[in-house]
Amino acid sequence: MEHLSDIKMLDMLGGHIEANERERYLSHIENCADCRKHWHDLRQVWGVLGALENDICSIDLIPAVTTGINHRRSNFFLYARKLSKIAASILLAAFIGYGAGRISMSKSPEKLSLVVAETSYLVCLAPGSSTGLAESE
Amino acid sequence: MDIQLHTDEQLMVAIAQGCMAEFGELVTRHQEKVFFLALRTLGQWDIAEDISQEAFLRVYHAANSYHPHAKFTTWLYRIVVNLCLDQKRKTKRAYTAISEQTEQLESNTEGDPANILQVKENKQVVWKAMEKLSKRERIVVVLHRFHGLSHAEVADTTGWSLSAVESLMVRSYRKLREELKKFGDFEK
Repeated sequence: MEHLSDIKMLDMLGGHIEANERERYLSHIENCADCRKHWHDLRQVWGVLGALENDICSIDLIPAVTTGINHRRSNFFLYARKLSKIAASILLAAFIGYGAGRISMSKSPEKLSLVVAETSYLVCLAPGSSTGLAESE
Repeated sequence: MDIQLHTDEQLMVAIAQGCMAEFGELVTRHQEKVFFLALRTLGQWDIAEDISQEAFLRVYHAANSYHPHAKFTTWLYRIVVNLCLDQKRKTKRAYTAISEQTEQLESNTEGDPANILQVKENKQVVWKAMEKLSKRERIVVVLHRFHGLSHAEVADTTGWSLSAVESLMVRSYRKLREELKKFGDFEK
């Protein structure tokens, strides 16, 4: 049998190896000086780390977590309210702008036709021209 | 049925429907493990407490989308591990702090004051040895040694590859052995 890997030994210490396999590994350890030394070292480390195993703490997270949930809920509503205010302001501004535009255009139809003509001219942008606009032939 | 008899997965279904009593039961059931995972990884009491709270808040908010593909604790510990990894702190300084303040943690040792003192000293030695490990190495050791996970389960929990976990685990136990050797008694 090959030498046992550290991982196998560590899983054995943690009780993650099945009983029959464990027996097989232990009998190998018994007969292999290298593995025996290694197993002894790992067992020592495992044992010393056990000093922290008995730690207990009387921590109670429920009040803090509950407060956190309520806080996030109220934050969400606060955020939603702010967002709806911003959206309402944008809508109102757009509505006022549109209304004002309509009124001013309806008052001067010749101005409207001039704007339409200018716009259609601007659409024909010519990249080679000095002005950036299409030049009349 | 008494909620204490419910499995974690059953509790999660109830939490998704807004049951706070079930959430309280879930927190009570796992808070100590979660807190110790964070504390032993980061070595700072207040940050460990914050991380534990944040982990449970995430559990609560994710209850609707939770699907029990794996064990609940695998999912929960992964949240904690990710929060710990995101924590940008000088862990060495933090660890020194905890190794000097182990009285914050009570031990369930009884009787003989000499024994109690010995336990306290041993704890300091272990904290100091843990200080020398990187955050990832500590996570692996803590999950394996104190949370009873096999190396394959550690890989599942962290989301790291099996070979990465294996090499981290071997390296960290070797480092610990070297560190602990410095504190005498170990070779006996």
